[in-house]
Amino acid sequence: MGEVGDTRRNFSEQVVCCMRDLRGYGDVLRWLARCVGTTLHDESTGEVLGRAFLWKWAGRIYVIGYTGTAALKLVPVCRKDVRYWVFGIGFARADEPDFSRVVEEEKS
Amino acid sequence: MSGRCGVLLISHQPASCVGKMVEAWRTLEDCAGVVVAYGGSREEFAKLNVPAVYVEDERLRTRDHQRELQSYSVLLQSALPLFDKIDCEWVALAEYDLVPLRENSLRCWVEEAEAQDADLLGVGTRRLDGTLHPHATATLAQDGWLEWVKSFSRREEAGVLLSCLGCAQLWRLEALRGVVAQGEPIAAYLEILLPTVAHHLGYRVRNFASHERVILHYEWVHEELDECERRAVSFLHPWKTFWN
Repeated sequence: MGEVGDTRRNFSEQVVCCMRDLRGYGDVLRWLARCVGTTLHDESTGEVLGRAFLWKWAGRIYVIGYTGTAALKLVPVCRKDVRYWVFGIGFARADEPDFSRVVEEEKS
Repeated sequence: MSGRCGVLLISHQPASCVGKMVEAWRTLEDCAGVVVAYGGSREEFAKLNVPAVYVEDERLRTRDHQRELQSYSVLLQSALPLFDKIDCEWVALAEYDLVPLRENSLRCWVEEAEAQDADLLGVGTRRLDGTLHPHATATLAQDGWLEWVKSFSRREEAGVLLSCLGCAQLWRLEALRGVVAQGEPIAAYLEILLPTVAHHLGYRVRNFASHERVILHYEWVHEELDECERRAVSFLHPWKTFWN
């Protein structure tokens, strides 16, 4: 039962390895993405985050040649109508942290 | 010399450049003292006429910093004891190519940290867990990372991963000592390790947002700044030839 999944996973890992070997071509991929890639928007602000190729493989989504600098967070795409057959995944900027200090609380 | 902030400068440049750099930082308002962590040659280190430590650590001398997991752990362990002799509450950690623009640059940085009630005020501070950022995904893929963080974390969420640039960080000395005491049993890139460990020790990590446009991790043209923008900021980075 696990064989099919394992095969897919192994192949998927090989693909990832190939992509790792392409690391030196990152600039080329980014240049291509800048020319013909999909524009990525921040789901909450509409800000353009950059461009990239989105590629799905083995149940995963790969973001290739991302031209932006903001760390990308995956967010669900909100919609007013109820649809059970489609879900959207979008992007957003990473948050600035604003955690309270807990050292003094422990001391007191 | 009196002030609230000690300065830890990281350099590998020739001694003459380091001398100029130290003099510039030492004369800033609120500077309590300067220590140099030196990663250049032994010969140049011998010429330094300032409080300094020589850092013998391959993880400092990386070329591909992110993939080789550049680390300041040994550097900080070596340099922090020198701050025992400096009466300060804050420590500014600055790489040689961070250039202060005005006499009150350091004071403004400290005031911003105090205004935000921060223990670490870093540039480009972001929460990276749950993002696709390669530093985050690589760190979380490290065997034992989460277990190590859980072993000392005072936070409810052990998975929180913070990041800020390594070239310009303002630390409350107590927080920096706490982070250094934790060591680095799991190798991680310094831009992730330092803020994340500080956060999990219970310290407050905040973003130096006003300088995000002028303290960058890549080369940029400083002349792009108009006069108004230049007057509004205290530092520029990187400016690798400034002390030459």
